[in-house]
Amino acid sequence: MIHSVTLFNAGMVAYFLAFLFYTIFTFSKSSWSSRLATSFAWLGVVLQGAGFIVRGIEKARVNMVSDWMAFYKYAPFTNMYESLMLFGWMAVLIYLIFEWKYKNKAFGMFVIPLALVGELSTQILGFNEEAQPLVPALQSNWLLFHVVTTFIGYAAAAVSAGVAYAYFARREDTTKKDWAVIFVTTWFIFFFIIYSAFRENIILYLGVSAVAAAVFCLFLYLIKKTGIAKVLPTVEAMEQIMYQSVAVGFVFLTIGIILGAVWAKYAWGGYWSWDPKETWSLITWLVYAAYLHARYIKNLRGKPLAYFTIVGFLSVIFTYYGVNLIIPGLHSYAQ
Amino acid sequence: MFKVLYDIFSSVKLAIVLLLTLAVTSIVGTIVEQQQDPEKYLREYGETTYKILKFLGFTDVYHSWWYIALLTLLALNLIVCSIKRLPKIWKIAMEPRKTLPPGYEKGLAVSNAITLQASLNEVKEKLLETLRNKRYKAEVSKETEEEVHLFADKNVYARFGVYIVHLGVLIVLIGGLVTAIFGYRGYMNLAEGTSSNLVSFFSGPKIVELPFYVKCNKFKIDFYPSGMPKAYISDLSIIEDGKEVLRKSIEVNHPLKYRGIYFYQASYGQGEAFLRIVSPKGEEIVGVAFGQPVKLGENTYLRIVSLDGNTMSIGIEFIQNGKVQEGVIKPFILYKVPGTDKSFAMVDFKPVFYTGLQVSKDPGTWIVWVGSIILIAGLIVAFFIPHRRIWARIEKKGENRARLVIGGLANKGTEGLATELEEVLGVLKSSYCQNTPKEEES
Ligand code: HEM
Repeated sequence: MIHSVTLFNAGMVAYFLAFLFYTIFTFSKSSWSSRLATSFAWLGVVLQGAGFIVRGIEKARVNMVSDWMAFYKYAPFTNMYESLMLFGWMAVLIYLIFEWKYKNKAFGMFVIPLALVGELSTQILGFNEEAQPLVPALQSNWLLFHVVTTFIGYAAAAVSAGVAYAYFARREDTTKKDWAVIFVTTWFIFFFIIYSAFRENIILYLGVSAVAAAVFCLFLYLIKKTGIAKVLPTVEAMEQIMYQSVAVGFVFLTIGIILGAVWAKYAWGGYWSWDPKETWSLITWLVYAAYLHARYIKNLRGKPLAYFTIVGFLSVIFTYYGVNLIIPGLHSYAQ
Repeated sequence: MFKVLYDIFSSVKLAIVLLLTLAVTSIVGTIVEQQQDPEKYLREYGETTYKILKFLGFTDVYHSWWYIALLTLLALNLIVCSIKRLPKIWKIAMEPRKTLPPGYEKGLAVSNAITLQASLNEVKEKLLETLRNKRYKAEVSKETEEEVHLFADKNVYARFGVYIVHLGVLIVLIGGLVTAIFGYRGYMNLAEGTSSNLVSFFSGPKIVELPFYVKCNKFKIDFYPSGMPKAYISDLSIIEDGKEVLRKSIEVNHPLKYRGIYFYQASYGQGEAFLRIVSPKGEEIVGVAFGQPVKLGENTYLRIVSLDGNTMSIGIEFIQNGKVQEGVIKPFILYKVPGTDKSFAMVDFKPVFYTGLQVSKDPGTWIVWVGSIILIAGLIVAFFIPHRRIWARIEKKGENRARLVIGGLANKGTEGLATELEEVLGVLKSSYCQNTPKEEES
């Protein structure tokens, strides 16, 4: 049978082609590039979707389970490699649903490379890509549902943060202070992603991620200066998209946290133990809850809401990468 | 005074402040390790820092008075705010203006006007039918010779989605409170063949006596070929009044439940000690796993926590009336238990495996699950189900001609409403516009 890693890699190639055609489309507006872009993105999603199914079967095999119906118990999301694949896959899928719903392809050029970088980081950072057996605590009926819903939440959070960054490129009145915030927050994001792989040499990776963040800021700045940002939807439409993806993300984070509580109830004897990972997912949830209410306050509209979505995503990044790195807890052996 | 408080507690600003304050203060508990022994903090932070941390409640953030106060304020905020707003929302939702006076269509999110080749009555009936087919609750709100007004809406309940969410949050908080007050979590270590009814708390030296005994018949570990553990399995029996009432094998993720108390496979270890307990009535030999208490009298327990391989002396914790004394005892020497007529001695030790069970009683769990389901249902309603309203005015323009003005509002996603209105108009046009339709700019 075809190996799951082959399918994941094929999917990445498709994403890369999709990214190329989204870029061509953004500049040329030609309908062939538009069609090719979307087709390749969907192709990637289908290939990786198949990859997850094959992965489930492979894992059931290394866990020595012959009953293939039980493959959902050996959910393919239990190590860093698998979860990053899932993250990229979800982000593209959610993007494609938005594209279909809003009939706007301008974000493809931004979202696809984000997903691709996430997935490629598994190669660069050398995460183990073999299917591994599961320790007893991870053999749960609830795990699959917990992880899938949480990841949809994370991916939606990533989409909203991506839109929030693009929003600053689109707005006319982006100030130096805004750019500073963009730099510092992306620095944080890149640092935790890169450092989680190496876990040594903090100074070096702080430097590397600062460079990455600077490049990202420069990219946004150029898009703004050259007027390319004008292809993006209007400022109001972007606020609406941000809100929609936070709403989707909030629903799935809520379901994910609750399913996690159900799992904890069966695995550890209590639905909530204030373990650092649980606590950080609660913090993320609280930030997004605050965002949802900030919409109702006049002088928090506009930029402050974009900041809220970015802070929410920082919290997601910390929940996902930071906690395992810095704070030991029940979840840390889930790697 | 009351008015001021009421205003503060009904404000959304306070909600944002509270939510963010909870988010920020929650971070503390993930930086400072929680609920550890004082010695551990002293080692890590030193005397002064520890005192400050302790004073601020940072060593047990989530049970500190100020964290609970924040949660209470949030709950109050939620209740007051909902009480204040519900009547208004009720009014908006249930008692809308149902007519469409001329000019009012300009205030609607979508509107349209069209002249049709049909009588006033035909248009009215057709429109009612079409709207009902689209699952609208449609009614004639005003009718004269010259004019008919229609009102239709669907998913009114979606207006209350937010309040369902808030109710769910409150119920979850109540569940948490019930757990905190009436629940407990502790552990039992049972060597193969032994039984006990004593549960030690994780926090503090408290011990609970269950009204039944738990016996470990067998404990085993399955391995993968690589040597990694695949499963931990304990074969347990519940013994009540000397009779076995239940027998079950438990594994991680598959606990045993009896009388509202859950037993989880949590850990395992090695070591069983044998105590000779002497009382005026006679003597007995009791086998007990390390870490598991033995009852020696009212509120008096002994727990063996370590073994010194060289001297064969055993480290113990002596718990009397909630106070713990640590010490070391020598084998075979008979010690008198203070406050009782009993004595005991450690007479043997075997390096057998014991199973580590986590025991929890958590009467809040079901409340939390119910609240969670309400919360999720509310979120889905609040975010994904739009409340849509349509108003229409049909004006008589002759025996067989009528002008229809129609428009609507949605509390979210105007596009969906616009599409629906297009479809409604499409039906009317195809029915009554055999001749060139006469559309107007809206
Ligand atoms: C953890 C606690 C809370 C959660 C999860 C929560 C959740 C929500 C959600 C999901 C919405 C809908 C937002 C939208 O449609 O964009 C909402 C709206 C709202 N919330 Fe909360 N909320 C919480 C606490 C509070 C508190 C403490 C207040 C007290 C002031 C409050 C007042 C409101 C108000 C006034 C609205 C708008 C209602 C309307 O549109 O009719 N919320 N809340």
